[in-house]
Amino acid sequence: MKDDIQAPTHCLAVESVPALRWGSTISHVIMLAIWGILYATSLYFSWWQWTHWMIYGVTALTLVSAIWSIGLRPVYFHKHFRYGVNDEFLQIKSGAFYESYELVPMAKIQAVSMNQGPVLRRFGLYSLEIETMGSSHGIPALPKEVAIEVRNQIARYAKIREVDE
Amino acid sequence: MMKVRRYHPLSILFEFAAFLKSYAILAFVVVVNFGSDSWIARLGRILLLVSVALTIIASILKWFTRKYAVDELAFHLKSGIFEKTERTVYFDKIQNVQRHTSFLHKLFGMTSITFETGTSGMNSNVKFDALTRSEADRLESLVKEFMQLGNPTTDSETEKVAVTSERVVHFTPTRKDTIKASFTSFSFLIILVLGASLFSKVDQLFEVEDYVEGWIASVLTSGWIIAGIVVGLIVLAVTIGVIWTFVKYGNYEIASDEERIYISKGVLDETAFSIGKKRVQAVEITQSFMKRILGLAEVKLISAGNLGDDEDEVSSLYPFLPVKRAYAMIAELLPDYQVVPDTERLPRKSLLARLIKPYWFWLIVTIPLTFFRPEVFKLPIGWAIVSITLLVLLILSRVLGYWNTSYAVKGRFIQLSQGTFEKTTFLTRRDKIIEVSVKRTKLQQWFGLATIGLINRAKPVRHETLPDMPIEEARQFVKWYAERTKNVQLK
Repeated sequence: MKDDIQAPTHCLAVESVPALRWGSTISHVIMLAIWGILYATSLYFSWWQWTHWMIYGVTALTLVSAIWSIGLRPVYFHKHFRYGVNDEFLQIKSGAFYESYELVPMAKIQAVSMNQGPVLRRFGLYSLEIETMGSSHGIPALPKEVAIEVRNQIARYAKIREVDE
Repeated sequence: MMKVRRYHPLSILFEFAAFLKSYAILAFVVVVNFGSDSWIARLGRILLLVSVALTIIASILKWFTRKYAVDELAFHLKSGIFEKTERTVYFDKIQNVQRHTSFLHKLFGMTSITFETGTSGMNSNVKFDALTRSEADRLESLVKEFMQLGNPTTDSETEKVAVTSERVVHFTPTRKDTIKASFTSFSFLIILVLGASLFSKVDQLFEVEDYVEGWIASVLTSGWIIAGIVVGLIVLAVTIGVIWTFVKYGNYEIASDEERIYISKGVLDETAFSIGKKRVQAVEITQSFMKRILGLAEVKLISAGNLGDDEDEVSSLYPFLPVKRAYAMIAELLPDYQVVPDTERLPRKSLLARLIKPYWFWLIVTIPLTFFRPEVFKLPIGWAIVSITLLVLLILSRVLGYWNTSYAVKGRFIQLSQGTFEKTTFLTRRDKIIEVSVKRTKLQQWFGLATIGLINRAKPVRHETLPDMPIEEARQFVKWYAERTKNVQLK
């Protein structure tokens, strides 16, 4: 993206695609279950007609969003996500439709945390969360060794303190 | 061994005063209904008495348990009635110092002082609600001395001799400034509105109009008397406005020495603010529509520490400075900063991109309008007029927004100006920016544009964005930021 600083080149783990798929499948199944229960109660207690229509509407929306976030998004997300860590900066680039690029000086990083939910554990992945004084940035799915290495790298570089903070 | 002190005994009184202030409404209601026998009045009385008793006991106990000590490095604070807490706040974390002397403080020759740190959370400051002026001076000078001596590496850019630190007064408003200020703030209009509403209230109560109808009718027939009354009212309103402005912004003083900037204001309620020049995170210049017409501007210093409530916000250099004077003042106070007069405009294609961008708000309003087609102003096509007017207004605001947008990335500074009616210019230094971002929607990608963003330390954290910059410029901006290490000194 730029001439002087190297554009970020590291990709997420390949398993991030199925991991993201599983994650959003679970959340969509839960959502559909909730709409189902609502529908059942509305039938049982014979609520107004418009509540049925509301439920049809949100179900349709959930299905559309399922196609997007289970079928398409994981592939695109993996394809376009890049991160890079060097001794001065953390860089994160993501998105194709809404392209985003972030450049964070190492010295401004306050905390790094490694997290693993049930889905990520299934694939042996970790997510990293990097906090600065102003905001937080995530690298969603990295293999365990890579995650530990990146975390240690950031922790090492972030030790550098600037004068006048 | 440092000396451990108790807070000033009068702090009990001031705590009680603060309590009274917050319970004023309840107290008033209770006192008014003192004779009443209803259960609610009784409950109110009991509640008030209990809370008064509790507050007095709590503040006395608090005074017995709270202690503080100062050495040349930090504040050490002890507090807690049942659960004891010890806090140490190092001077190098202090971002700014605020002093507030209310009328009550003045009666007792006291003041209050707050040292703000940049940390988040409840305990982000060290506050003394009531202390003698000499003690406040002592504490403030300790912090100040620390900044000068204890931090030999504070300055990375300008090498200078930190021997003579003479205090220079840069600005005090003249009578002309105050009068001009009172006109921009429209405060005198408020008086008129207040007067009118008061009259209608009185009218409802006593039917004044009926009472004096004959009199008013006779008055209304005489043009001279009406003119006289109007002039009188205006003179009164303006006088009150000027007095109000004088009370609020009178005694304004902006001063600085080698290391710090001092701003003080107020006649009855005095506030004083001081910040280390190195601690200024950014400068913001705001011009409301009225101020733009009169060529005035408000300059605010952005600090990583809290800046107090909106009402007595103190980080502002005199809010009614002539623009040129304001720019000159920034240069005087912060030699490290400079306002660039020749900023760059966005290219034409940015305007096009901004105009094409979907008008979501308009859509959301228009869809139900076309659906229900309500009559507006008794016109059957009223809904269409409303919709079109809204669209025109939105387009106009986008054009205005484009017109007011300009930027400059020069040397170590970045300057962003934006706004529709009100214009805000944000100026900061490369080494004070925490992080930057470049974002592009699909539309911006087609047009070769990008939205740049930068984050600065402040409370709350400042996110500044400039949409629709050409992509080459955005790349240049990232490169510019990546070169920040040149100005940053590492510990």
